[in-house]
Amino acid sequence: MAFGGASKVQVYFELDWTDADGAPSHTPMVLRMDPAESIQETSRRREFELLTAFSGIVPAPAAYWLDDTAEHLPYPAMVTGFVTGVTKPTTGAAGVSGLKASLTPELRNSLGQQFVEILSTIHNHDVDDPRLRSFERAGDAHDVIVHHINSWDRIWQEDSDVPSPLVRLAFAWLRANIPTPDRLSVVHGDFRTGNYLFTEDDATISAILDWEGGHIGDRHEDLAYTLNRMFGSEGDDGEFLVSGLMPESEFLDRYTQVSGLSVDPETLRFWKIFNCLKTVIIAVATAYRITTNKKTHQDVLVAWIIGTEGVLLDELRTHLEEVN
Amino acid sequence: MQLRTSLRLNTAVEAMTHVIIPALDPDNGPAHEQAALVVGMLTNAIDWLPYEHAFDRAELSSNREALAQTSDATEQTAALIDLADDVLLRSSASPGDVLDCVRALRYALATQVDSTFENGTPAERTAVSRAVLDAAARETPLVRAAYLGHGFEGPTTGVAPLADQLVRTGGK
Repeated sequence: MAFGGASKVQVYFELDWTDADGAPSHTPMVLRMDPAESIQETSRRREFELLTAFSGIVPAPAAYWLDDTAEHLPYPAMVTGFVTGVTKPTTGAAGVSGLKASLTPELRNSLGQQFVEILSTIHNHDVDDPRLRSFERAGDAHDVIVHHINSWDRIWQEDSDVPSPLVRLAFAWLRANIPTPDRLSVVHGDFRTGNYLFTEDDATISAILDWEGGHIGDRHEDLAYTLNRMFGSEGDDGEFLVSGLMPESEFLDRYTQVSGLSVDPETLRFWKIFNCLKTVIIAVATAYRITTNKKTHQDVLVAWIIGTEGVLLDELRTHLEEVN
Repeated sequence: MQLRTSLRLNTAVEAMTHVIIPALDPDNGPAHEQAALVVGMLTNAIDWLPYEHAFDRAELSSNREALAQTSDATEQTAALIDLADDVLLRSSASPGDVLDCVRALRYALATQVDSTFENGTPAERTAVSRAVLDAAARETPLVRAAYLGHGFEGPTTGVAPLADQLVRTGGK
């Protein structure tokens, strides 16, 4: 079994096969399969479609086969190519799931530029790409956000074991302050250090991973997610670095410049609160429920992630203080 | 706080049973024996947790009765019996009672947030928001401190250790 990640079962294997061109091939591959239950229930089909759509456009694993109805495997699954690289420097420290990875200034410079360029490319991709045929496209962008809020509220109500006034307050604020997106984009949904591979010898991003939460939505959702303090770290001078790469203002300036897309502070704030709430729900509700019921292949790791509860709740509190 | 001790222990047993023990060298007898004892010890701890408080109270009560039966009626003995009575009275609520009460209060406040934002006036919304945020300001430093060992705080975290915070609040 491959190491890393808290959400899906991942198995590395090497396959001798005849490829689509009829040539014999020896290919390292990864089986990515749902566990009995996961911290995020997502669609393998949509993840597969995203990998297919972005093949050759941004670095991503090749998409080979899809078994989204579990016809051939115990649970929905897909087979992708294996990509060489690391999620964190082999000599540095990092927490579970690549969180709090510490990068050298040289790595930050090189990876930071690519990080912004890739995110910009994803957000500028045509949302009507026919390869993304399983994605919902609401006629009204406002409805897309309402749908997101409703779906996460339902997850909270189904998975949570302890009532949380702070979570209810966050939902109330979100419903009262829904922004109107200026355009829809492909949203990666989990874009951060720890979710891409890079090769250490040339400091190049070799693959963007974990597309499972990808959807059509507001690009500010990705930006706000990337800015989450849980996914960043501090530089040598103590300044907070977005995804361990660069300060927040530099990240947003570079993104605007490279993508040609604007960043609206009020919309960004909405998505910061939304994403913070989402991560609280994953940690406090879903991770708790599935580990209590012994439903994952790595309960001890998922339970460890519940330990993000304090940092995430405090960040949510801080955001809500700013708007109250 | 969701990562209760029983969940920590249960997930450790799962990891030992399904991942670690199967990976041990089958010829390493001492490792298998110790691993089985680790699982046994953790399982016993899971079984013991719900009864620990009641067990300690029962032991205290029994010793108080024993001391009261003796003919040693010194001032020191009387003071110890008074102390035991006081501790038994103050500890009558179990940890489960405390947790149940926390949940009941959180449920009441959470329900109030929903209803106020659905039907309340702006002033009522402001008031309930303030109450929730003030409670969160008191609670989140405790929760962050409780998880310091998980490594999700930055190296310059300003969170005081849990013991210091609890001493300051006196458990209130």
